[in-house]
Parts: sequence; structure tokens; C-alpha cells
Amino acid sequence: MFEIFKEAITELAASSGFAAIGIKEIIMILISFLFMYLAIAKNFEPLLLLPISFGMLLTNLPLSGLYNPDLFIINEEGHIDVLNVLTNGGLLDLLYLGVKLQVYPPLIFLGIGTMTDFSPLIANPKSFLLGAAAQAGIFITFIGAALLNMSATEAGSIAIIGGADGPTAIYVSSKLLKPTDTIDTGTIALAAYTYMALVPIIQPPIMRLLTTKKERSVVMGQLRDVSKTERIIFPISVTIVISLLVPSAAPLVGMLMLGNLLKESGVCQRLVDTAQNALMNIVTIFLGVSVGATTQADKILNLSFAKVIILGVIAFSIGTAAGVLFGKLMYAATKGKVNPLIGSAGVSAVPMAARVSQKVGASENPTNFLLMHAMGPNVAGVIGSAVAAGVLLSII
Amino acid sequence: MGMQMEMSYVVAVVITGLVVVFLGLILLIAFISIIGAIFKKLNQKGTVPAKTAAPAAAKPFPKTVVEPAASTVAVASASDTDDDEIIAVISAAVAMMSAAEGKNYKVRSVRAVSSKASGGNAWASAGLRESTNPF
Repeated sequence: MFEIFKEAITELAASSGFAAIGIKEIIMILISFLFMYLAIAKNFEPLLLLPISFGMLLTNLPLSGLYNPDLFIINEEGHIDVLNVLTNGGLLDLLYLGVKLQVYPPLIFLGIGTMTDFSPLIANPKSFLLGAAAQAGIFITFIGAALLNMSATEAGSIAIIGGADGPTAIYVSSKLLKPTDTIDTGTIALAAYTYMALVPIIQPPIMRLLTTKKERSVVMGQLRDVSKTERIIFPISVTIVISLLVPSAAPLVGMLMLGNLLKESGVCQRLVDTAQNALMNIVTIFLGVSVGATTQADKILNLSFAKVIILGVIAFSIGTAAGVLFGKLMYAATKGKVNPLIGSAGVSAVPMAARVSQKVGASENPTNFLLMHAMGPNVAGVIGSAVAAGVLLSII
Repeated sequence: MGMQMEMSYVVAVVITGLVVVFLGLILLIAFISIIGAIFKKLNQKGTVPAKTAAPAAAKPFPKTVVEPAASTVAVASASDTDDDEIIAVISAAVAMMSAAEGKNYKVRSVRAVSSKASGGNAWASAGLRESTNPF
């Protein structure tokens, strides 16, 4: 009897995760702890980083079979075998389908749309220029990634981090990245959300460096009132213009604007409530945990991860600088009516980047409220990033 | 590691990207500006009295700056003519506050401050300050 017991225990031990775990997995689990710490103790975008880091933990526990990247290999017909994923996939494989088939990011954009007030942008449409200028970070980083010998799909995925928009970064990278690439969507998402949480630390030194005290103290005139009809026409016209110009940006921009139209119409309160609460929260959990699951050891513990981290912060910084510099141009063109500090908000990262503009402006003059002025470029940045994403998707 | 890209391709991607992003957003500027201009005209025709009444109504809200410990309360009114009633209301509010805090406050001066910087409305400014405070 004792022999059978001993045999059973040995067998169990051999088939347990303890026997299969390697040093790489242990390192990855420790890294997941680091991100959990950043999310919980440092409040770094916790709604996303916590599910992502837990997904990272789950996927690196050996033999759990929650996520199987080989199921997502593109077949000869040019797409993934969805039926195979549905029949043989683990829990996270099923959830990851929503990322791989680009379902979650547009749904998140729907929720964001219901929470976004475009009035500052409608009142001051020139803010669109700042939202466009800040996208320079994306494209200049693309050059940097190319110089580091990365493939076009990798370079595009890293560059989009500069858009400072998590759903857009996940959307682009999940569509571009191939299984042969050395990075994955999870890597991009981790870098994007970490840097978005670091916006209040990354941006202010760049903003101060590029502006003079006089420019920072500019008090901007009050924004005009925007009528309800204008707020209703806005999402419809943006959808038409952008979707005709860059069709591949249509899923993101279309859903963002649908959410906004639901909100501005004032007659769909129940849908707005669901889109911005229940739906958005469900999608956020699915997105976070399944994107986290893609961060398996061999995709993180390599040189490319370091490149993503370095290029990501460069993308953010260049975006900020380009926004501020364009703000200076507008300052000069309007003879000092535009405060260049609102330019940095063009990187998206709503509403954090706008609040950084407000904070840096208030440190020069505490009675200067740039927040609403910065919200213009900020929401323009979301549209700008989506357009940039569409461009990357259609030319790479 | 993936295939290396040709530098000409990289530059083409960058230029196309920037041009298309700017083009798209400039198109939107044109669109929104035109719509804005149309609505401005419509508003001027239709609701002139209502439009001018709104900012005027917002002005008399005074801005109070209460400095703790010191017994000076500077009350700033946007209008030049001091409104006795408003001063009385503010004094009452200050008295309530001092009772709650156990400190003594006295309204010593009422002076106008520029309302340009804060956007005109003291409550709006206070709200803005609060909502931008957390970090």
C-alpha cells in the first residue's frame, strides 16, 4: 500500500507545476508582482495594469494551459483558425480572441466616447493642430525603431505607444504583430499603460525646458458656448470625414463617435449608462487579463523588450515636445494668445495630459486655468492617434 | 529579429503618416469652423437678448479669499459697485465658518480683483481648482 502511495505522490509531483517551472517563469512572475505593486501601491492605471499583471502571472504558471500562443498562428488563408481556438483554447485564449479580432479596443472607445466632452475642441477647432502635432512622436519613433533593426510590424507597434492611448496601441499591435516578431501585444500594452501613468513625471520637465516663463503665464480667453446641435453634428461629421480619409481608422473613430453621439443626443441615457459603466468594465477586465497573458517569458526576457521600454519613453517625450513646439508656433502666430503648455496635451492620455498642462500653467500663475483649453488638444489627440493608427495599419 | 527596412521606406511611412494626420485634422478644422460660423450667425439672429444676459448674470458672483489665522477677509467683487447684500451674505457665511472653526474672522475690506484670469466665475474657479488639485 505504501508503495502505491509513494508512486502516486511522485507522479503528482512530476506532473505539477513545481516540476515544470523554470527560472524564466520565476522571473516573469516576479515582474508581474512588480506591475501589481505599481498598480496597487502607486496607482499606475490600476484598472488596466492590475488585470494585465495578473494575466501575466497566470500565463507564466506552467501547465495551466490558460493561454496557448500557437493557436493564434496565422494559417495559409491568412487568418487565425478561430474554430481551433474555440475547441482547443483555454479560458484566456477565448478572451484573447476579442483582442486578436480587434473587438475590445473599439468597445472601449465606445465607452470613452460617452465620457468625452468635445465642446472645448468645437469651441476652438485650431486645437486639432496640436492634437496632430503631438502624433509626431509616433512617426519619429518609427525611425528610431527602424534604426534599431526592428521589422516594420514591430516598429509600427512600438511607435504607436507614442499615441499615448492604450486601446489604440493594443488595436494596432494586435493587428500588426506576427508570431515571428520578438515582441507581442502584451509588451506594448505594458509599456503604453506604464508610460501613461508616468505622464505627470515625463511631461513637465520637457514642457518647462521648451517654454519661457512669459509663454507659460499666458492667460487664454474664455471659450465660447457650444450649442447642443453643434455637439450632435460633431461626432457625425468627424466619423464621415475620418472614415472617408483613413478607412482603417473607422472602427476606432466610429465607435468613439457613436458613444459621443449617444451622450450628446440626450435621448439614450440607458445606453450611455451601459456603455460607460457595465460594458466598459467588462471589456476592460477581458482586455487586461488576456493581453497580460501574452507576456510569456520568451517574449519579455529578450533584448526587444528593452528596446520597447526605451523607444516608448522616447515616443512619449517627442510627442510632448512636438505638441509644445507647435503650441509655441501658435503662440507666435496669434501674437501671444495661445499658451504653448496646452500643446503637450495633444498626446491624448485623457485627461491626465490636460491636467499636466493645467498644473504646469498653475505653477506660474495659480489663477490661470488652462484645463479646458488643454482638453481641446487632448481629445483632438485621441482622434489624431486613431488616424495615425489607421495610417500605420494601411501602409505597413 | 524581423527583416530590416529600407531607409527610404521608413522616411516614406513617416512623411505619409504626418501628412495624412495633419490633412485629416485640418479638414475637420475647416468643417467644424464652418459649422461654428453658421451657428454663430443663427444665434445672432435668434437669441441676442438671452446670449448677452448670461454673462451679465454670471458677473456679480463675488470671490472670497479667506485667510485662516489672520483676521482679514478680502472679498472681491467683479462689479465696481459694492453690493451691500452680497457683502452681508458673505459676512454671514464667514461668521458661520468662524463659529464652526472656533476662530474669529472679520470682513475688513472688499476690493475688486481681475476676473479675467479665473474665467469670471468664482465658483467655477473654485471647482476647477479642486478638480485639478489631486496631484
